[in-house]
Amino acid sequence: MAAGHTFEPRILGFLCNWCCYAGADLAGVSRYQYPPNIRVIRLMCSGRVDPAFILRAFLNGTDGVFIGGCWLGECHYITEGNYDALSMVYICKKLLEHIGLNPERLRLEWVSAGEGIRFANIMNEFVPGIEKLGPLGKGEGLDEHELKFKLEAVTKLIPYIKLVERERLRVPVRTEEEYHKFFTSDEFNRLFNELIGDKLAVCQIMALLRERSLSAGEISEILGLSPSEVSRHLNVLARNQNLKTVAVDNDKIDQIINKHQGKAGSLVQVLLEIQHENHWLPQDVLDRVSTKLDVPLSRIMQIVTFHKTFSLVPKGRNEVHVCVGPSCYVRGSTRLLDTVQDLIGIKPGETDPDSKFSLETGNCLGCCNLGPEIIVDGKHHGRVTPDKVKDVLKNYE
Amino acid sequence: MPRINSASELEELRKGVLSKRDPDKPCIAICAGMGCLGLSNGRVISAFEKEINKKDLKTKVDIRATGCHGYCEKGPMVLIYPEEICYVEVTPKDVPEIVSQTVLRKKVIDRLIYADPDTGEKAAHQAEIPFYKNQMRHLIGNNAKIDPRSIDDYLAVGGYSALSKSLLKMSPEQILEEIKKAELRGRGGGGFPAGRKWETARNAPGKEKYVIVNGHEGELGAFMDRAILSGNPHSVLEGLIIGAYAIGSHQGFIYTRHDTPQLKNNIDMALTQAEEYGLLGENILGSGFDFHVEVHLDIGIFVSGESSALMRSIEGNPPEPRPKYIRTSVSGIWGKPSALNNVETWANVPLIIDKGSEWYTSTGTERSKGTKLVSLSGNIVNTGVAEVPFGTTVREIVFGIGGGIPNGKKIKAVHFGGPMGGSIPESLLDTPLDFDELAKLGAPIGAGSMLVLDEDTSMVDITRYFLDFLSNESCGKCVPCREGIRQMLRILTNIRDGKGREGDIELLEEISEVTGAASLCALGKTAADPLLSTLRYFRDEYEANIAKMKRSAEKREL
Amino acid sequence: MGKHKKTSEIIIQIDGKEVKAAEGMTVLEAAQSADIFIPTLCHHEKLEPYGACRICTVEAEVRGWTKFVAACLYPVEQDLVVRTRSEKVDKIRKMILEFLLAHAPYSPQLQDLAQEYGADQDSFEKESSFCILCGLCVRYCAEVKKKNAVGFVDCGARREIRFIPEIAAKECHSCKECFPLCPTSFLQAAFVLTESLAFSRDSSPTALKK
Ligand SMILES: Cc1cc2nc3c(=O)[nH]c(=O)nc-3n(C[C@H](O)[C@H](O)[C@H](O)COP(=O)(O)O)c2cc1C
Ligand code: SF4
Ligand code: FES
Ligand code: FES
Repeated sequence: MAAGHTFEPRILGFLCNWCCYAGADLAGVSRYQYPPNIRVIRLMCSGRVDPAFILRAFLNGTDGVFIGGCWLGECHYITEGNYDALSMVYICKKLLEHIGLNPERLRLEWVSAGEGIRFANIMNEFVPGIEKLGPLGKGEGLDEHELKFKLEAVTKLIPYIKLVERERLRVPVRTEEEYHKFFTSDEFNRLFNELIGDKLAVCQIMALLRERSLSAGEISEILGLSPSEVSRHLNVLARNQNLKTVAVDNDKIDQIINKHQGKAGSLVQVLLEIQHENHWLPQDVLDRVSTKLDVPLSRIMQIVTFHKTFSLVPKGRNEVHVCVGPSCYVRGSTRLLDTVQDLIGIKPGETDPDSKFSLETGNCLGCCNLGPEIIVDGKHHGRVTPDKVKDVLKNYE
Repeated sequence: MPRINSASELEELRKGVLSKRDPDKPCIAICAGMGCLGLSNGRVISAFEKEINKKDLKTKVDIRATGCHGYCEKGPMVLIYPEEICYVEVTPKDVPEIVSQTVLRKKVIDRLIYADPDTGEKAAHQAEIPFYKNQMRHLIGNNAKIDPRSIDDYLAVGGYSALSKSLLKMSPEQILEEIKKAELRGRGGGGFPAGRKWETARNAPGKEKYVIVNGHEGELGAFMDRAILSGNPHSVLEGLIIGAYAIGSHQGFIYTRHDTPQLKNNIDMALTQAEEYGLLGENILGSGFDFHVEVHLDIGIFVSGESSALMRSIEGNPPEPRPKYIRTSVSGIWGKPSALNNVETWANVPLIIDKGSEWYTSTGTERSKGTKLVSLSGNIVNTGVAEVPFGTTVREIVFGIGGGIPNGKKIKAVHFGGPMGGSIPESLLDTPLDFDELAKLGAPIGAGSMLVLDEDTSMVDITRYFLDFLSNESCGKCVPCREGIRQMLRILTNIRDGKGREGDIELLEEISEVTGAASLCALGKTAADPLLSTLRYFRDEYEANIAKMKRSAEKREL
Repeated sequence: MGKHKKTSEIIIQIDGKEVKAAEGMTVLEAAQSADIFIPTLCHHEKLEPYGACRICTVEAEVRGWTKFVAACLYPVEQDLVVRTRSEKVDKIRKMILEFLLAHAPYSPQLQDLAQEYGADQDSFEKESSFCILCGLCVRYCAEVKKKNAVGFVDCGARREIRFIPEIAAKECHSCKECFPLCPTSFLQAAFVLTESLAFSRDSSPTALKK
């Protein structure tokens, strides 16, 4: 943009044929003044607006999206599409917020066919508002590549999000108040984060890793996620079998398989031995075990996710176990665990970005006389108080 | 190694072993059990080895790394034979002095012997230490006398004589009869009569049958099975072979923990040695009876100790319980009759065969015979494994053996049986240790873990703790268990955090009724037991927490 | 069992009615043959009995002992007395439904049953997962289609279903026979999620640097 030029936002409008489109028409015919930035797409109902449309608009550089529908209760279809538009917009705003875009860039209003002036007033407010926000992404401080990458990640999830919305983010009573109440509730936030937020992060990590190989630390930096979060998401990726890693020594694996082959229930024993030797179970290895022992991968996945014994991601150089058996518990293992978590910055089941430590909680190992205790790489450290644990961990590289 | 083909050859061998042993030759027995492991007993053991080498005493003094002596609290434990001088909390620094003073000059080092924390009274021999004084150590007593990695040590204490008696002098029916007469009840939690289980398996149709050792020991705070299985593996193996013979099984499995390498190593070694001697494998002791054993490791999850889940695991499947509308003793591993018993149950078998059911039933109570291993943990002075006759009161165990509560605190409760067990309050401590008595009080003995809780413990919190454990360690297949635990856990968390609501207790009771009746396996059916027992004895704590919430809510309204 | 030759016909009593059954039948099968309704969620006639939902819990009286058993699994035996409804049975079913409604409040199957047993969908706090883990999809794929494209992962309260991307990419598009079996739309959601995360053209292996 050349200097001196003010920013002219690009606005896309999805207007319902029966009301808002007519309202906009009326505004034009009645010569109400409003900024000319909006390009309009006419639809038969606001309920027809798919979240994918909105995301595509933003991907194509639109700075603001407006949706106009009939007033609630006045939809022209018995399905009451405008309620669907309402929940869709609540969710899309949340999605925008999640990837760092200002949710104000999306606006939904009810405008009847006779409300030309209302349409003009809304535009007179919306367009300058977007102007103030600045160009998409830039205004939010996102660089172009990052923006595109994030929008693509969300777009990918749209089919999933729609199903989640239908089944889990539904408001049973169709009134505006009930919708507002639900979509601003803690419950919605929780459901959103668990159902969509985490998936979005996973999706972004996958996209990043597809571009180039990165370490957990780099991912954490690029996506602005804490090491603990990245580690948690990597665990999920591995479980989805979306994480491929370094080639492994097949001969060693074959040796283990051959050793047990033919014996009863060899599968579990083979997996345990590989875990023991290799400290984690790469996807390739599981595939190989599946073929060689002729066991469906689904059963293998169930076994290896059944308990924390197995790891599907590489472990840190030092494996820290904090015993959380009942005796250690009544002797203060909770505080000990908290201290360890603070010291190494990860939660149980996770590995820090430098692969120095993996943390796990362990069930009673039968050394209750030592409680509270931690075990590092198999070495027991007994009667550890929170202030002593630092000294223990300091010895590990 | 010689292969033994008859009873007389076994006795020959035993004689040979004993004749090589000079009863007056000093022997240093150092505990290499799990509890002492964490107290750097490895360094103590190597210090002894070095010292003996240095002083060129290798031919004059024996060193033996043994299994758990029981008194883990005071580990590393060192016993000096033949005087049986017992040193506690030994460090590598003490080693030269022990060798020069005690081993060579028979002098007791005052500083290293046990001193009563209250009276200061000293005890130089195991039998004088209060922890050991009132025990009856039939099963664990041998631990300090044998190196678990030496079958000769086991033979030296009379090992495998019960096997030889069984295979060569008794019929399977006679063995069954003996076990039934001994009224041996399962030590893994259910207290089911072992003889009846064996009989069912024996009578079940089919040629192929299995016998299994349940060495999963998933019960939180229980560590006596480990002490036996890693400290004296032959005693369990001997029991297993006898059981197999009685049932008519030729294949056994030992299912044990993957996270304790010592267990597998010692068991593997025991199996190899037994096989070399012809005590395992084909034509055992020349009797014509064949029996093989495989070791299977668990994957750690608690539910895999449940009998049908354990069997699924051995088959190579995820450890998910199966409904037991047909018993596993009729249809177990691969649909074949499978008799599963706990480590301690099997370890009792050679004892019964050796000394007879009459001797055996002379110990214990009306319906619980013999001794029981218990593991003491929590807020207790002496953490460790103790063995007492059934009928000993809980108070005697906690105060007499366990030494009471540390830091001058008062006792609040004793929790039995881990996550599927229950607690009894201080007022019921005079209850005798007995399957049925404790079950009646809502605190079934389980596998024998006794978690002692002092006055500072919140019973709501500890109950929540157990449910939290179960929500991670159940299989999650059936709805009443998975969802019931999830909801009970949520309510308990709220109550603990002061966010409880009126009606919560009633709701908890309702949920527990449903999970108890409708769950698929015993885990779900008994998941609410800790809750029900704490509601029975400590309901006021729940109510107080909820009332606190109500009061603060009222305050806010003002 | 099995020792004595049993007459293959067994007479049992269900809700006061005499029902003839054959050895090896389950209580559910016997009830169905006599047109007695027992609700089920995880049962499917093409699949092995599973016994996970426990909605089919009934009271079974054997030799004077009453216990609660899963009808879809419990084998009939001579002189068995079954009560398909009782105060406790209804209470169990109601709570099981409430547990499940916290996950899938809009499942038509659950809603119908909820009406019958007076279950309140708001009894328990809503859970984000909307799978009720009946395992129909997993078992159908394994037992009928023999493809094992979908399986369980994890245990306890964290148990979930997961597609195996490599198998699903090959097999599922032309099949999808399990979709209509699902009492919620979770199966579909799980599938599209797998699809969008792992099937796309650019789904070259993603590697993590050490
Ligand atoms: C969830 C669950 C976990 C169990 N864990 C163990 C265990 O770790 N060790 C054990 O011996 N028995 C355990 N049991 C009991 C076994 O199912 C079985 O009853 C026992 O091993 C039989 O041996 P017994 O008759 O000698 O006690 C468990 C039971 C349940 C329901
Ligand atoms: S009761 Fe719990 S552990 Fe047992 S089968 Fe059901 S879900 Fe699994
Ligand atoms: S481990 Fe040494 S006494 Fe128990
Ligand atoms: S139908 Fe019987 S348990 Fe689900």
